[in-house]
Amino acid sequence: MSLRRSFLPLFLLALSASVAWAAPVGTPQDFAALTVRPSGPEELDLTTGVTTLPQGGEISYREEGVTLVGSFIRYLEGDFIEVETAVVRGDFGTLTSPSLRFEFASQRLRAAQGATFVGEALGLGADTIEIDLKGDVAVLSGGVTSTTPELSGERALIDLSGRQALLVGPYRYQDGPFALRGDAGELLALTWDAAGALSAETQVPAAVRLRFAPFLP
Amino acid sequence: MHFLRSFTLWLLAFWLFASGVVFASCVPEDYAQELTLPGLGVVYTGDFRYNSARDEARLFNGVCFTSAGEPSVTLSAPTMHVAGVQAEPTFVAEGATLTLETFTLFAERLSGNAVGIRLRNLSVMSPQFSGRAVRARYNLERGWTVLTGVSLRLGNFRVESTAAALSANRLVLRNARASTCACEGDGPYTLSAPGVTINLLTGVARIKQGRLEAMGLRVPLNPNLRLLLDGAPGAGGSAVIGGPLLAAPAAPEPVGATIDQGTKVAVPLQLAPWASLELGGAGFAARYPTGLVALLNLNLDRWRAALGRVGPGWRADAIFRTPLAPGLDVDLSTTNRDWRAAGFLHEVALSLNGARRLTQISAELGDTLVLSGQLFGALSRQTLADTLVASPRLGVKGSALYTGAPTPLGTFGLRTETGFTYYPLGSADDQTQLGVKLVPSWRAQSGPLYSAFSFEHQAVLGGSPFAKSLDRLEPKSFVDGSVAWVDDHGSLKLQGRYAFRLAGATNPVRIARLEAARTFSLGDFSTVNRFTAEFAGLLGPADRDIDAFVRAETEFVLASDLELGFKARYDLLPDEAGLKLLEVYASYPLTFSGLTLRPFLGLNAAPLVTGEPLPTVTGYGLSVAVKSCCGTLVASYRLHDESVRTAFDVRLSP
Repeated sequence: MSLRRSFLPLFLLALSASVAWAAPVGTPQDFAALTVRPSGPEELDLTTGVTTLPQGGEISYREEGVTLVGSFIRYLEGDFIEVETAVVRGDFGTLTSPSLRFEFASQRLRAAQGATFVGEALGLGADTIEIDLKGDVAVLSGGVTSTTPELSGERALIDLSGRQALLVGPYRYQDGPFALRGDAGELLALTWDAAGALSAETQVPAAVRLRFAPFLP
Repeated sequence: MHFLRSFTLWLLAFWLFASGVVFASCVPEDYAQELTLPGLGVVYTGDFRYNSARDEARLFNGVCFTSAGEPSVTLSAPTMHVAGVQAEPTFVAEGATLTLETFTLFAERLSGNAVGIRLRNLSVMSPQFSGRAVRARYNLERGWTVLTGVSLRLGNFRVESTAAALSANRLVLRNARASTCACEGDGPYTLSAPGVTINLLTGVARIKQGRLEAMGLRVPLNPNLRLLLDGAPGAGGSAVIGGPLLAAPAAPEPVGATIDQGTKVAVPLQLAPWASLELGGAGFAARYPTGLVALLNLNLDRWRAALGRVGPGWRADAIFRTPLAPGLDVDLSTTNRDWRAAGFLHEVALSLNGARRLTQISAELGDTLVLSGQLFGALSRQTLADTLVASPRLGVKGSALYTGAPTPLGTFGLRTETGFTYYPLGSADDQTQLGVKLVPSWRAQSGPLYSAFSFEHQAVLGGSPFAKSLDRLEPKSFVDGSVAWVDDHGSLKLQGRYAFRLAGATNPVRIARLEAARTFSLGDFSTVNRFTAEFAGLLGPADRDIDAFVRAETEFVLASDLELGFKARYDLLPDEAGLKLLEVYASYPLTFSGLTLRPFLGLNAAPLVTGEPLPTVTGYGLSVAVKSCCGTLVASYRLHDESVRTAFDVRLSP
């Protein structure tokens, strides 16, 4: 017992340097807001408090109902989560990206290096996708594209709770027989119903413009 | 309110058209968005709203549609609603402009699908006409527009019709009523017709079975009337082409052959679609008895009849014709002509008639053969020189007309007629009659040079107890020839006829004539000069039917005002030699307010030369032009050169 006590400071020191935690795979580690399911070892840097899941895993952020899955994860609860080869699922839909970061303070998911977003009615790809979980808005920037409906645009703003979106020009939108296009800065309003049936409108309704005003120049 | 909206739309349409702002085709660069409608075409629009749940789109801030097919259709409107965008698109627009090949329709409301486009309360504009219609339907496949409730301004005419069919170069009106009146209402007269076809390239309207309606009377128009809608150049009014406006002077005889009653001036009044009454006078020329015309003409399917008074006397003719097979029919007829020249004829007849036209009987020659035949039986009666002749007539007739194809040596033809008639009650000399006629002919043209030659020979065996006016044939044999030079300014013609055999003829030279005509024009002044010399009377024994004379005529026309002519005739026959005619005739318009009178008078001064105290009147006439809100009505009558000319025309005031 004393031996144990005499080893305790040493043990803690060693831990503070680097600890290979051989926890069983798939065992959930519950924190205050996150439920973490690692796919392999879980490494905690005691000096920074950052946890690394080198073989990835799954983190559920219960407060926002978001689940992040990736092949490599770093996180510091209350501060950030970084995921590589990420798939994020939530009420808003699914976000996939080679590289993704979640900031707790701003409640924003930011996917870079090319990301895709699949929502209730739209499936879009973009250079970067930023999802504001608090504001319920997804902002897609640079090379926004989709195949169903066939569209492209400079930016896209998606209301994650309101079934409406804005495509910012230069844009092109093709749905069956009609092809819509807009120059730089021109907007196309997209709305959809519960069944996911899309409506497109080149003259943006005032309510839609107001909803996305903070994200427009 | 509705009127105001329609008027505004019309004004807008007119302004757009007059200012050349006609949407001939869409300019895609002018529109931000485009919509491809499967099977229909492409729609360009400024703004666009599409609802996929309902599969409908609303296009606004300017819409322009171009159809996919040929001919191309362009449609523009401020807004458009499209339903069934992905499936079977249909569209609706208000205040729409539809531009077809040569005309534009402006509609208060327009709807369409892959089959066609429907329009309501629309204006029609084209270079040739303008107006309104209650509805229109455009067939995308056929390229035809059908309008209903039509009211148009066509040249000088204001036209209303129940329906109209419009294509690129043709407008066909059904049940049309037209007037040239600028005032409200129908005006003092209207023209109406069940069918009018207008060639929009030439501006010529072809009117079938038209009527002139005035003061409750309906007068048939020339049955194949053609009107130049924009009027004759310089005349400022409508012009009737190739015939008179009214049918009267040229009305075809409803029954049987045309009755020779001299010049006839009559007005046929339409009593019903199947009945007309012809009223007037006939025989306004030498050698014909002058008389009233009051003839009831009936035309009932297969029955036709003419009952009443004609120039020479009373007439009651009727015919029932029924077809048996193509080119074969049966006639049952009665003919009653109670005057001397007709031999006071009364007859009932039954005949079987057949005719067949064979073209290219020899494919290499490209020739034509027309065959016809008749088998008949009749009960006939004539009173000839106070002697009654009555007998049945049983006979057969046949004819063949062969026309060769044109060759470098000219066109050859051959006509033959053969008839055999049996008269059971005739005397021994005239119980049978066989007639054979043979007419070979040749005609040719080389540039302005025309020539023709024919020989006619008729041989007769036996004879008819009836007169020539019915069926009596006489042997005859003569040759005809002519050579003419015709160009744009005049003509020169030599004509001759020599009879080897002709009943009652003493001089075998029947015609030996030289005719020349020349026209000169200089600005508003023009002159027509004619010269005729007939020498037949000098080339043989005296013959009461053969003349010899020299005639010269010069006629001056100064613009449309002064008409002045001189004519002289010098007879050459030894017994009658001398100046017979030294005529001056003139016509000049006298204008009072709204009324223009143009009297015509011709006087022969030759009697003064021969010692008579006064000249004789050779012609007279009057033309009256009355201005009204319907334009200028022109009616004229002229008797000159032993013929009567009447005219009725309508012109818009300049």
